[in-house]
Amino acid sequence: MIKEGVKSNKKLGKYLKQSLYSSLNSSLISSLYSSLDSSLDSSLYWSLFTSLYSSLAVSIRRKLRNNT
Amino acid sequence: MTSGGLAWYPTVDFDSLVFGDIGMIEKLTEEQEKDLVVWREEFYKVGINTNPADRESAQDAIREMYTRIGKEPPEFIWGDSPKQLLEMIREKGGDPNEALNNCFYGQQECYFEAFYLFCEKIGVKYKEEDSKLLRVWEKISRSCNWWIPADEFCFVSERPEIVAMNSQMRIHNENGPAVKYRGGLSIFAINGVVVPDFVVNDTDKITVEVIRNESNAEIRRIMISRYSGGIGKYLDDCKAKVLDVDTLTIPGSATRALMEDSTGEKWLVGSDGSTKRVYFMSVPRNSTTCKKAHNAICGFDESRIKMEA
Repeated sequence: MIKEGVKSNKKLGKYLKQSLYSSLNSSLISSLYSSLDSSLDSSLYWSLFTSLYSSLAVSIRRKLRNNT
Repeated sequence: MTSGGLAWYPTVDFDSLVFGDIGMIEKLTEEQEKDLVVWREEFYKVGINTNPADRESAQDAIREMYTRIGKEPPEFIWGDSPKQLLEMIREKGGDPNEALNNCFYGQQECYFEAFYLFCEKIGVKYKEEDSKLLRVWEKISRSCNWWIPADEFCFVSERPEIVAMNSQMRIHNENGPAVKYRGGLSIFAINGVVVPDFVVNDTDKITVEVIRNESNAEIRRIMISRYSGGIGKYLDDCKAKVLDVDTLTIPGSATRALMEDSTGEKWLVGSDGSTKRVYFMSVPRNSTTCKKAHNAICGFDESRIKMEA
């Protein structure tokens, strides 16, 4: 699957993380993580993306129902 | 450290970094603390950017993704919204349901790059190849919305034209769609809760029966708060039961009531003696008296309230 191939590029996080731990104090990492990754994640991913995803999933289900 | 070839990407002043005994960065400098706030704001803006997509940049970056996994660059098919992408996939004989689970989310995934790029900015050294790949992801986030890669084609969506958020960074618009794509896909939401369009656009359609039939408690509460004529009229119309009535022992306090509507939601109804304004407070369903309901929403025992002499 092409998705899996592209996704493997996102495993990048795993390698980047290794560099983080060799350069940054762990409490600084978690503070930066909560300031950037998790706070943007909760607004952009959870608020925006999940709303879109669920609306599209409902619309697909509705279309499938109408087609049967 | 170099700017990585991107004009917006600032260089690092190593002299200003605070290192611990073993060369670890222990904390941010004052300057970096300020930078962090600006950085977060910048990436938040990337996430909610409503400008037309930068198609050339998006295609360049996605082509590189394909090359990195040993695939030929795809033919790009652009749509106005993720919904249109799924429709185009269906027209090409694909399964939109499967496609929905094979999406990447472009600008909505920029939290990943925001975090790792900031760490690099303050001095973390990544392997050159990892750093390059991080910038490819960033380039995608900065240039388009959702994208769905397939073997021969890659379907890419334009950004939305409206993204309205509240101060808690939840999608929110009381007067129109909170998210709207140029292709017509609209999402209505109040404080992050997605609601049917009439809850925003046509509140006369919010009837006692509609509220009673709504299975989602959050949507039900939003419907009640937007009921034509206000919550008081709703409690009247649904023939809410009065469960308890009392008066605070504080001199001058007005009478208050605990009411239960036809869906089982409970409301503490009180008034402000000076303005005569009536307040309807949603309280836990297990409240049995006004006092217990008030304690539950205030988090303290109201009998501790004493009037100053």
